[in-house]
Amino acid sequence: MPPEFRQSAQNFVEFRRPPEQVMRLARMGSAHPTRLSFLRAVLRRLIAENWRFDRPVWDMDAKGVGRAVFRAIGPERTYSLVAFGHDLPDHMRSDRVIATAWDATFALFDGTPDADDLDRLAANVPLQEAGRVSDKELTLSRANRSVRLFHYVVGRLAEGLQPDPAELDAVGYLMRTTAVYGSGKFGLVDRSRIADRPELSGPFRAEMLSVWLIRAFTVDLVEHLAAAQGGDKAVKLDPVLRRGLGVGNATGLGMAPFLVRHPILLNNWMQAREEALARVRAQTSADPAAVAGLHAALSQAQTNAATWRSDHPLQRAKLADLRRDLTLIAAKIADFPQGHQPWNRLWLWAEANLSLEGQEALLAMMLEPHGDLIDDLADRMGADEVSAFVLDGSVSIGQFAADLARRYDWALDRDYQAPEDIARFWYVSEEKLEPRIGERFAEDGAGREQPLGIGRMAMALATAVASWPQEESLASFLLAHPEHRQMVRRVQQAAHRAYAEIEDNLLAADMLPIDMLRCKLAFFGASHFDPRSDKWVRISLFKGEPFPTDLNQMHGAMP
Amino acid sequence: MTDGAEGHRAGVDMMMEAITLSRNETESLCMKAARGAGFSWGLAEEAGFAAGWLAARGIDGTAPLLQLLNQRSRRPAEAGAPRLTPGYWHCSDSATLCPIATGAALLDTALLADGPFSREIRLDPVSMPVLILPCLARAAQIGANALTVDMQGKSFVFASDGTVDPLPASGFIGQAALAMTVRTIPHLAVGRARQFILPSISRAVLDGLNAFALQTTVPATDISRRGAGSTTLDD
Repeated sequence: MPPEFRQSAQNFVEFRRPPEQVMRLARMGSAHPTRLSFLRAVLRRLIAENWRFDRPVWDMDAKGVGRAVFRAIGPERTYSLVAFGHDLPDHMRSDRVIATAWDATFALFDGTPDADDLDRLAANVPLQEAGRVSDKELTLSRANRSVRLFHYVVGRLAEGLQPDPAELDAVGYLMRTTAVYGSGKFGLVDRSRIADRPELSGPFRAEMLSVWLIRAFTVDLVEHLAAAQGGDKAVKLDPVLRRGLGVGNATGLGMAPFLVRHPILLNNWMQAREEALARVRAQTSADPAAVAGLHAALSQAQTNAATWRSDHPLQRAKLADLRRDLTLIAAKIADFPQGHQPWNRLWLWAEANLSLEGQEALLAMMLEPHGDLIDDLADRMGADEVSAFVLDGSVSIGQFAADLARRYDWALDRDYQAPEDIARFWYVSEEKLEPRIGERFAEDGAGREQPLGIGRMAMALATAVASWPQEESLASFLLAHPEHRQMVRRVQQAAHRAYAEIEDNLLAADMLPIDMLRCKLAFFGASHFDPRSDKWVRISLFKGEPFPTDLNQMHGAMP
Repeated sequence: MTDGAEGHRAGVDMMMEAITLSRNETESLCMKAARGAGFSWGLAEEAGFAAGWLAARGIDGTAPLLQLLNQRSRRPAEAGAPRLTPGYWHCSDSATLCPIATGAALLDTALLADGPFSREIRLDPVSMPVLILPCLARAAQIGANALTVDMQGKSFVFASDGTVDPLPASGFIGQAALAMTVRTIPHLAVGRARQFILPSISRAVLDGLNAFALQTTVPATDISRRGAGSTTLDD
């Protein structure tokens, strides 16, 4: 049990789902965003701390070329999204991370940028990976227009008309981000230098703040272009329609290895969510406000399911499951609550009667009305990966082998010789330096495989330690077998972290990378998961959430 | 939150002669380079960590690492591994000790009752000795013992909280190999951790490490490009 969770560890054991249930790709690939998701946690803090927002720079021409600054002003610090608009020919617009030009590029600046900062950023941010930013910036990102919807909305507003809500729903966003970099990449500030700031201590906080401010930029940009086009006739976007717009995101395979490379983070995310579910289930009764909240959450889930579209056969089947299950849930909770521990009864009913999609959707609904009970868990989802990096070589091989057998039993039931068990291999492409997955028996390159086949690595390690004297130290084994050092570290990290490992074979022929993407994106808070193949997806972020100007109004006008 | 976010070459398109990498970039580049040069993944992680630890203290570990990798590429893979005898760690071949493998072994054995810190320990000459400093600092930390390291008549102290002051690294950087003696001393806290400026590294070192890192990648094929992302112009 990592220290983040120790204090509540013993209270809800019987209500906590075991890792062999939670850490399976099929269930991870059915994950829904919850109120613990990172974008929700960011918005809660901005509201609770009365952050204010302004736009001190808006220097855009009639084509949307220029620069803008959106500030988020908190009790202690200010962050500024610096946005650059570009005139991108249609033939250069690509969602791939490997593209070299975009409709708009962004950096999140630490503080308020002066003219020199803006000039420095103007020379580098539009180049993205080919430029260089500094430790005064927290994130680097870019976005492309959703061309058809973007032009349509500009055209309508320019004519003085609102867009058709059905057209907005069909896409859901005006622009899509294709990468949001943080954590020291391309010269950005290292996470270790900012992680002690309360507003950034959770995972991906700076990235989420960036995307939320980008969303404001996308609406300001269509209104600006409509005004340039329509003059006095042009109108602003209706605030109700505006709220239904998110920011799109196109995400490929590269995100999948993250969950495997960061077992402590994965554990802490999962453990927070599972602890939240356990707390809700453990309640002896349901108070009326929470019951009303459950009904409201169901209603929102139904609206969400109605506007969730995908052409991918796998996702269409899952959407059918979800819609059917939402109907079942609606019938079931008509007379909720019933009996002792009503939340637990509802949950057990779901496990017996719903698909994975329906169960995970209900999980999110059950958490929704319980902010007072669970929101503290959002602050425990970060991880100190540096202190967990050190191995303990003093344990005996016998003790280590026992930990390995206990934590990796799911991996040790096969010898990884059958072609279907090792059909895939993960690698990094020389051409674009991006993670890819290959077919071991059809493609070259397995000799440079990335160490992501955790199950097979566990089996190889188990075999090696079995023939080592059991009373000897792990250190002596490592000196002779440096090739197992990485997996040894993982085993020690996972020994007391129940949710650190995906308990499926990541090399298997039938493994779906999009299941990993869905899990990670749900923790971000993404909705409308729309796979475009089994390897890349589009999603929407912040759909239905307030805009900066909404928060200003909530707190009263800017002084 | 990005596809390919872990995969980019550090500063590869920059024209400048020196560049400052973030700690994360230093760790990531050095880990990949060490792997590309033939270290196991686990030791490559140690190499990345060591370079990042040094960078966070204002010391460039990338140039010594590149020298180490260049030497290593001309030697058998297991060269430089330490052979542990009580009070004396010597090299298993006729060459110098590898700072990464030796540092890792120091850490792994730090908590053993009869481990290296149970008595004075002498080390055969260690290649690129600056790279072993992060392991000595962490060994002091996990063993909760202060350590002194004597080499070439100079003594350096690593406090039990892992801090080192004054940082002895500058004297190490130019050294190709140094023998050393390590012993524990009573608990000693040296001082508060300071904020250092990240070191700048030369273009040549960056290119050299990138070349090793490229050895961990696979040339693309038509099959591999298929399905990895959008292939159509966007709607």
